Amino acid sequence: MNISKISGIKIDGIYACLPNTEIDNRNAGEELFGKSIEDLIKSTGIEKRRICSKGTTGLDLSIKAAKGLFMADDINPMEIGGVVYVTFTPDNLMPNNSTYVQSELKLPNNIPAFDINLACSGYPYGLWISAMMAKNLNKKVLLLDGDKQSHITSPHDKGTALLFSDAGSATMLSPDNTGSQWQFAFETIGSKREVLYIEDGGAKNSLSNNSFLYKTYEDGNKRRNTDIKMDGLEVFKFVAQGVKKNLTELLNDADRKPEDFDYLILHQANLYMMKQLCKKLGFPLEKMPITADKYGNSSSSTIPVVMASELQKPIQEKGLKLLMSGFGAGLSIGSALIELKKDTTLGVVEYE
Amino acid sequence: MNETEFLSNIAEILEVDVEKINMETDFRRDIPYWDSLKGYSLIVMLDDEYETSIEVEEFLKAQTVKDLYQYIIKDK
Repeated sequence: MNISKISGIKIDGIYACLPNTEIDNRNAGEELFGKSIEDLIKSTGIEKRRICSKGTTGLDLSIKAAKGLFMADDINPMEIGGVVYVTFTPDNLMPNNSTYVQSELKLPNNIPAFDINLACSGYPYGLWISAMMAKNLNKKVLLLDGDKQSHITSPHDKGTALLFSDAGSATMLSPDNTGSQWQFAFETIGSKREVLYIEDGGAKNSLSNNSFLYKTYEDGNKRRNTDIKMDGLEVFKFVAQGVKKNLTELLNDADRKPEDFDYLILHQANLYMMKQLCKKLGFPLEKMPITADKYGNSSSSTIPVVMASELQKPIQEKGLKLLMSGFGAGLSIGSALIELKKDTTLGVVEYE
Repeated sequence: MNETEFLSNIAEILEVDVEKINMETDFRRDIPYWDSLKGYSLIVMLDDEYETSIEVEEFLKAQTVKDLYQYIIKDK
């Protein structure tokens, strides 16, 4: 396994932004699932989800998160040396989200600003690239991560309808000679690219009238070619076997054990799968914070959402050693072993 | 491989105490709650622990814990 190690970096703060429209899965899933809705909610753990109102996007949420972080940490935008935006649902195909961030947050013109196209595995990739940039530039780097999935999730597809949500986040990284060593491990299984897939809307199958028609599939699910398609069994196998292997190898290589960490931060795919993975890795369930129950699966932003929302109290007591992993479309895995310093600024804001 | 160990692996996935199930348990109906995620998990466990890979169609035919156990025995 290739492990990338980076020292001399710290996270100044992480803010998450959630849209204030809340979907109660008990109501939303009644028609699709009937009486079995309760069983499904027990398994996925997703009781409520947040979704954008019409016209709002992941970019809007991330910008609001960044503004919250700038205010809380009294950040001067002119100190920022670069912007990275992780998303698979940019506002426009051209130009990217990060250029808009540069102007909206009044950042200097002489900085690099670019997007990274990844879904659920994206946040550790964003941290990795941003950390290297911050070190190389010797300046702060702003990492944003946000997606809107609600408009590309079929309400008639049992596999996805009650899982996906929308969220945005902002993370500020700074060079810091006292920062601990971070370690990253990545994995790509491109042969499984159709396990999580959107047919139409890219260059290969451009949008046509046909793209917006609901089609019924063999399993009874209905979706459009613009909606996210997910092969549940393949995803489950990938997490139970592939992600477990990736994290085990990272732990072995770093010579660390579950007891060396304060928290295991997993992509909030669904609670049952997360619990199985947590147990198999030998972590106690108390070390795995959860936001899937109230915010749903918002793709790669679930990791910063968990940290911003659930670590606010513990970070006031001491620095936290974290093992994190994002996994999903690609198929792709991004895992990282990092440390958050005591009193790192963490916060959550809502978007109206 | 023995039945006790097999039952304990099944109980872990079904999220019930091992005393609550036996070989005759209908793993979809005789437990507090069931959904396809547990089904996926059983398929993965048979593969991980017993090197038995079964197709979804085959898995859907199985009703009791014993039916699953038979797959492993057949595969050996």
